[in-house]
Amino acid sequence: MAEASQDPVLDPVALQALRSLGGDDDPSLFVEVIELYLDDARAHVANMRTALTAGDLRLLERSAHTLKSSSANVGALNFSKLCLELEQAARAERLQSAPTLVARAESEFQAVCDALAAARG
Amino acid sequence: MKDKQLDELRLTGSLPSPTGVGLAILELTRGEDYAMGDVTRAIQSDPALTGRIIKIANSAGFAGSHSVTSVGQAAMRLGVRSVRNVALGFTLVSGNRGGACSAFDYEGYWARSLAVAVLSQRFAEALRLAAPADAFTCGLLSGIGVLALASIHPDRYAQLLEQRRAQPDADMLRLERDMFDLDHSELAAAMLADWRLPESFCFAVSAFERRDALAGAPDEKAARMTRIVRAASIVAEVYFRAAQPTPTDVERIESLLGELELPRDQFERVRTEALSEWREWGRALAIPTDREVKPAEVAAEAQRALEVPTDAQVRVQAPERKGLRILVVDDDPVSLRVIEHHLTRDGHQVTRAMNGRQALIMALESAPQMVVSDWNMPEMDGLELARSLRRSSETRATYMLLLTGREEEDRVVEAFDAGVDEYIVKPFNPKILLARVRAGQRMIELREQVEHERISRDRQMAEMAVLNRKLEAAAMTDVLTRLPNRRYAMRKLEEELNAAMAGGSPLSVIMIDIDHFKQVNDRYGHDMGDLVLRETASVLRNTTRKGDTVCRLGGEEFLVICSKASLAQCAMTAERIRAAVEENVIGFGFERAVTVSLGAASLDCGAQTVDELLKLADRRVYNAKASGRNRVCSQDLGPGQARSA
Repeated sequence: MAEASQDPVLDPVALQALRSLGGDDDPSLFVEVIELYLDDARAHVANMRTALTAGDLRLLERSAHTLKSSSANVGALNFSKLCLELEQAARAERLQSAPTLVARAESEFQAVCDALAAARG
Repeated sequence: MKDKQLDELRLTGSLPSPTGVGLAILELTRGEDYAMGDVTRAIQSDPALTGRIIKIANSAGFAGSHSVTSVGQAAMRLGVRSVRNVALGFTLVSGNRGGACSAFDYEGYWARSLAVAVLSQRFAEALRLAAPADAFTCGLLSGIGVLALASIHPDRYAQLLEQRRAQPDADMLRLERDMFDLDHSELAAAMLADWRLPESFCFAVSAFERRDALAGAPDEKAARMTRIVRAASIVAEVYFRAAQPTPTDVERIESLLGELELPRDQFERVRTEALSEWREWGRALAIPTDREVKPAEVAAEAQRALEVPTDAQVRVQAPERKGLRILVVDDDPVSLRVIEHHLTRDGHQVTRAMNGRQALIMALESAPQMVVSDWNMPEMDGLELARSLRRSSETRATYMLLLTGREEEDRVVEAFDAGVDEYIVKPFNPKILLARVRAGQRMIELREQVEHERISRDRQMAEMAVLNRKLEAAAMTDVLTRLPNRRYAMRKLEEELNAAMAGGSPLSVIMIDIDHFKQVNDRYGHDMGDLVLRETASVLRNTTRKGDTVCRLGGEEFLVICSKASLAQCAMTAERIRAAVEENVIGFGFERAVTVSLGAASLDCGAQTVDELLKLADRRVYNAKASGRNRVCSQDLGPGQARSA
């Protein structure tokens, strides 16, 4: 996974697509979508930590699955990949790799938050 | 109304009728001894219907009891028959919330029916006149005849409403009979009977609008149901609308309360509770109950009728491209928002749900044309949603587009089996999504157009059936007097003779000839002659018994067929006719009253065929004439037996 982190936190192409959603004259939709994403994603990242502590693989899989697709939507591709790994690990009940993956996901998510805040301006 | 007539209308397929589960329930309960399990199982297969039955069981008359949570419990509480009837009523609402007549306000119609239903339920409870759930059903279906006529003859019903607008006091039932040969009240009663609803319901829907509503009620139960529906209908007219009640309205309510012996404070409670229940049901059934309910049963439609072009071509053409009503379901708020954005920008009306369960409730209530749903969601996933949608009659045909992840793509066969129409793999280019939605829209519109054409074809068939019936009636009717003509008389007499021969019952006829009619024509002209014929016809109509058939055979000759009457009975009728004609048919300027000569004959007199019977009667008319006219001859023995005037 070392090579993945060399990619930018946010994929510029996806970000541009998101920015042009509302048309040039209306940046509010871009801001709204980012807010929606951050609110939802924060809750799911917290859920993953709770799930890990409680050993709740179902919850871990669910949250990772949701984060995987919503993060791809805002261009957070590294984070999305991490979530995919987590989802697969949880589904295969590979508990030993989970703590490291959750920790990496948490720090990557922090980077996503910062990058989105910067992108939003 | 004749069964044959209802059969014809049913064959056209335009008659409002229960569909899906409603039809299954109707089939299961054909006999008298159906099992509770059959009915409850059929209802349970439709989640929306299940919810509504439970709501009814919890709504009125059972305050303080445990709340009902299953169809089985509802059936225990209300009785299986009531549950069956309520279920039928609801499937009619869901299956007929739109229709062929663009001049007819279907939503307004159901909003009003719903108001009559909840008021009936509350009145039944407050006055202890009937089982509340039964009153609800009867009230809900009280106007079904209007809906049926508008659905079978959309264009001509619009015409009729226009006519009524021109003369607001016109009798709607009469206008309907003139145009369609049947009116909404008898049609409603026949439809309810066809669905095997209780006789009290059938009577109530046919009688509640009449001034003498209770006359002819078959039993006390029917009379009670009629009073309930009548009261509910009046209160719905006065209060369930935006306008303030007028002084006339207040008077009507006062006299109604007097009739019902219902104290004012109790009435106010009934009214307020019913109003809030009405709104609740409106939300549950997606019928707009927040707007005005128009006073007369069809006034709302009348207004719309005038705004709609009467040229049928304009209505049959496909609607111009406009957006779909789409429900988008996704647990990811970003994706939900983004999809909504693209669809809205492409002209569609979008509603959103966060999971399958929420989506199912919304779909059942608002009937979207398309559902765009994610596959993997908490609570209820996309496949479960598809299966549930396919189970409900309201959403069986809803187009469903499924969003799948790469990892789910190899399971799409499973998705199609569940009832999904199309899928798209995430992440997707918005352009591809819109293209898929447009492809789906073509399917939806094609399906709607086929349905539209089917309805319009069925409607033509129905109109043809009515036209045929009117032609047949015309061919059997004498234009001048509106009496049945010779052709009818011969057919009828043949039938009566066969029945009398088979059953050993008597049969008699009276042949009638106007005296000196040729002189009337010659001296006063044919207009006066026609007047005398019409007057005589009217006297004949009024002096014969209910079972008698009066016909004009031609010229100045009439025939009365007295079924099941002996010669003596029919001779009495003949004498009554003779006296009445002499007394009533007085043309001005005549030097004497118009009179008739009559010949009575019966099967007892030895006649074996129609021909013989008529010959006999004819001979006696001749005898009556020969012995001085203005008399009845009922024997062959000559003028001595005929009574003189």
